[in-house]
Amino acid sequence: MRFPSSWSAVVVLAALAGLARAGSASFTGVVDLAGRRFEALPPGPGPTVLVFTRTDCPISNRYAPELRRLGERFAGRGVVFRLVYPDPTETPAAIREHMRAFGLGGGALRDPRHELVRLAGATVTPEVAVFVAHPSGPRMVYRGRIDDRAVDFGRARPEPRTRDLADVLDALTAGRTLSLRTTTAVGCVIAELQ
Amino acid sequence: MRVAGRARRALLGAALLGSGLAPVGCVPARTEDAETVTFNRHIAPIVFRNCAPCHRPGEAGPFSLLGYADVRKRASQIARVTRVRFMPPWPPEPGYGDLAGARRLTDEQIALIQRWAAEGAPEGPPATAPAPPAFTAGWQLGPPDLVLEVPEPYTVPAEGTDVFRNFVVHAPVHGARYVRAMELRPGDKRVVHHANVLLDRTGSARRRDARDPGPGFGGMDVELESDAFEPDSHFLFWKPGTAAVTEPEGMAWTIDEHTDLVLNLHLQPSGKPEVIRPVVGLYFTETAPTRFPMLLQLEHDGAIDIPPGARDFVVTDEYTLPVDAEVLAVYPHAHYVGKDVQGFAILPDGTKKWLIWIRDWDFAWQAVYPLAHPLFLPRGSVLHMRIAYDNSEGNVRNPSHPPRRVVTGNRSTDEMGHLWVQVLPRQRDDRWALQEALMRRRLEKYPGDFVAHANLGAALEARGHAAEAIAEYRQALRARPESAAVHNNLGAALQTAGDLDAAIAEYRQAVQAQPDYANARHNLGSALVLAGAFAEALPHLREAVRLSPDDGTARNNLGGALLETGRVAEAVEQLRRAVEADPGSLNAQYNLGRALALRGRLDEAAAHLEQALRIQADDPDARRELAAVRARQARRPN
Repeated sequence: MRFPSSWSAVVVLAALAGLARAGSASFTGVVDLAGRRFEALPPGPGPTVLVFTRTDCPISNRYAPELRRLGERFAGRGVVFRLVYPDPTETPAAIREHMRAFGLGGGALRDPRHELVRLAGATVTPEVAVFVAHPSGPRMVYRGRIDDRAVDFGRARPEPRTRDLADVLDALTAGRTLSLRTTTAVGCVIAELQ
Repeated sequence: MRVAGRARRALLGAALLGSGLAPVGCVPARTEDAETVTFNRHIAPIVFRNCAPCHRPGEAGPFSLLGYADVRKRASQIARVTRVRFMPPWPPEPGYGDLAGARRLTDEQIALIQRWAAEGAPEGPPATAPAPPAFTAGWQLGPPDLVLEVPEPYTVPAEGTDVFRNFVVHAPVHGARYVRAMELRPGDKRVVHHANVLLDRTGSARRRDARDPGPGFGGMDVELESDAFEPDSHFLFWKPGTAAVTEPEGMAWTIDEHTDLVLNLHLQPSGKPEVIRPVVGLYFTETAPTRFPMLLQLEHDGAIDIPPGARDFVVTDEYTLPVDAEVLAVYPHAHYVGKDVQGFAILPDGTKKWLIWIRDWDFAWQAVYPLAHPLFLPRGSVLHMRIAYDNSEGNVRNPSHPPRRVVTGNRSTDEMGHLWVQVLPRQRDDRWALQEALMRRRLEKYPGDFVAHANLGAALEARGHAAEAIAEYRQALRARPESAAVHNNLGAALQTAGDLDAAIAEYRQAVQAQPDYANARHNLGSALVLAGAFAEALPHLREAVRLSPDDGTARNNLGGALLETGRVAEAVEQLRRAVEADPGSLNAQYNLGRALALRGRLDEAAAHLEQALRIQADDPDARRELAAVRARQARRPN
């Protein structure tokens, strides 16, 4: 059988059964740093990880080395990572500088209209959403924290006890099928658009 | 000849320090129920006063909160962190201690912020917009008198557990300088979480730094040997939001050419490697200190042995004030397993006065807390420390998973439990009584403890109890027979008690244990001079002068010994330098006058002897010597 060459947000909506409340058929405002429009999630057979972040969130920034490691570990297994910057006031230049300073690879998307935020149901940075290809369109199988290091504001474990994102990606790349699981992420609140 | 100066004592002990906070208070904001909560009218005054001091460019806050646009886009974040009182950070419990600069929002202010965020964070009429907050750029007190920079930059790794690093900076001053204020620019304030500055007058930190690879040396807490009783009386503490550490009137601290500043930094990885190079600015005053506070340490680290899983392991200590004193500031200290920290005083009439209570101890937000008003405690008041530890799995900050047995130590997986209390007694010398009581308490906790016996000896000696002091020093030497400092002090006490031979024997042991110990060389040489063993004294005094070239007393004693052994030319040279180093020294002026007279330089001799008599008009030796010189001058052919 053939997978659709591009995913439609309408199909995603159906698959998520109301978890995401996207308002349009395809993204109208999601752009990469060169300003190219992204009408859909990146196509491909492997999982796509959206990493919601911002340039000045200390909790996000402390995850940069972990994200780098995860990227290296899963890059050879077909996993695509995309940083998503939802704050419309963060410019491409500021985002490039942020990625350079913190050694963040992979592509970055700007989501000034919060289409990806709503699609994933993300509320804070850092928060991740994992999508997999499905015959009926991409399906979200995980949304929440990267790991359980941050417990609350000002309350962090020295080491995580549960590495949620890595566990999800391990399972997916081992060929297992997952149903949607969510966890609560701790971080900087993604401000609602005015 | 005359030997100048009392024998020098060494004082041993732990020094750990750090002050000054300039946080901000609260603005009561009032609103009527029907009124719309707006940024301009209600929120800006709260944010500008309580948040902006750190949330602005170059400061510790990760983003700026300097105007409506900044604050609006973070309205829900601000609502959340203020609701749980994560921000602004102010761990002490209100109502349990009268602390200065409380950076705590009122319930009313927090409610206003919640309402404002929930109602869409409106700006309000432009006419009501407050002026943006103004801050002083650069050094907060103007250009410092002396700027000290850490010798090499240090790179904080991108991730991992917190880093504790200590940097040693030498103060290039000559003679005593009095410091009225200090400003620390730690480098990237988002990385440097807090800093304690300690004064090291013995070079011990420098020696430790040399042994440790890379810039500075590691360790959460620094223990320094202290040669003097003075320096450890000030908290020199920096945390985000601290402008400058300014001492109260009359309470400047002293540095000299032998002083190193040790910067004890708590560094938090940010996600990328960060290069820091802290800079310290010092502001001097010409006014010598007139008020002398003291830091009392309550602790019982020896009782810290926390089984894994224990949720409420309590360590306490108490200390009875032997004299009246005012409490000026407190500094609680525990590591990651600490949970509940209490400090209070019970007055002789049974009244309980809280100093501080932190219910949810967070190492990351530790601070020195000056009291808003000095708290007078009469003699007989008892200071109490009570610290509870949670070594269970439920304590997310527990560095060990699963929990392990925790004992005291300097690593982040070890624990400590301290309550430092800065007190100001009525008299400067009352501090010896405080020290004596502190060391007696320490001996109750740790029988046979070397440091306690050694310092108790010094305190007793200072209070005029020589015989008891000698006994304490001997006890200290039972615990640590090779201690050069205690052999030296015991020698000094024996000398004071009139037993010169026994004193010389102790000085010899001190010099044997530590050949480069300048004070012991000085004391041995000077005692040998007193015993008439001038030739034997010479090498020790020469060594003392070599080790401390600016020490006028040592030069005077060397000059005297040279004089007695007939080396008059060399004696004149040393005595001239002794007079240069300390023109007010009666002994040096007298000895130089006498040496010059022996060289036949009668006019110069007379001048120095006259100078000696200006220092002390009725000094019989100087009078007699001057009369002899005058007689020779009169006989001199014209």
